[in-house]
Amino acid sequence: METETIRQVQTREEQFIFLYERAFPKTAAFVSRSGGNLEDAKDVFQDALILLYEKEDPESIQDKPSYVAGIARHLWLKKAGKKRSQAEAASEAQSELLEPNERQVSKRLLRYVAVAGKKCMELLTGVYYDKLSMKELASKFEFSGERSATAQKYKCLEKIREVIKQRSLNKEDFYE
Amino acid sequence: MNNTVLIESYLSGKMEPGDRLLMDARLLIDHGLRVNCEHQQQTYELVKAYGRLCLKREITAVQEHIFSVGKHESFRQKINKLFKR
Repeated sequence: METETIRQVQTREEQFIFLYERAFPKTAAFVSRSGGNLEDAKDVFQDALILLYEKEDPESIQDKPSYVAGIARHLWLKKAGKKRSQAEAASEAQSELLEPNERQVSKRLLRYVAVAGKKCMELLTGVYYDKLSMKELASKFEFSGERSATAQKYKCLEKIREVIKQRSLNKEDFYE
Repeated sequence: MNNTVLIESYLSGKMEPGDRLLMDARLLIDHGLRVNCEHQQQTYELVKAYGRLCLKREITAVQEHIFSVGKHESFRQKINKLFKR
């Protein structure tokens, strides 16, 4: 299980189940001891899984269950507004959780492109969020090869960029 | 498409220093390029938000599966015990 990559769609679900089984009890115990409920534990654990997934190289982490439990613990302490001690402050986790430059994306615009540009958004998500190689992208979206996948990627970038351009004329989309 | 590739290279920080300087200069004088650059940056942010949304849905489905399917009964009991007060 540990040798499979979390970015492979076919194994992603198995990896999440594996992480729930191994790490969620630790998170739940910690949240329960510090006054939280099951929903709190589920929330912070979900966010911890997302942070693991978004890490530059998740496969470099040897012990993913401990990593996820550590992040969830940190998130819970933050959520519960408790001061954490230096020992609990995993510097790696801290740097990942802070994204001061990330702008709030307009939910309205997101809803719009999710419908108007669904296919392109799925393809671009494969490239920029799931970090698939062009070969994997070609296989997933059934393109003839890597060159075709690359060309389609740029076409989609242009399409969504154009949608944003048009919608930016409607200022409400950007200043909700 | 060249414009899109160029902007991607610029925004990703992978551009050679000399080309970057040239691009900085072009952005100062070329309004259209500047607008495209801003919107392309927003595209990446939007894609990240969309990807996160899809992943969250996927994780929620896994969570619901674990907390509802009989196969994980002992796991569920173990967790529920933690919250019994």
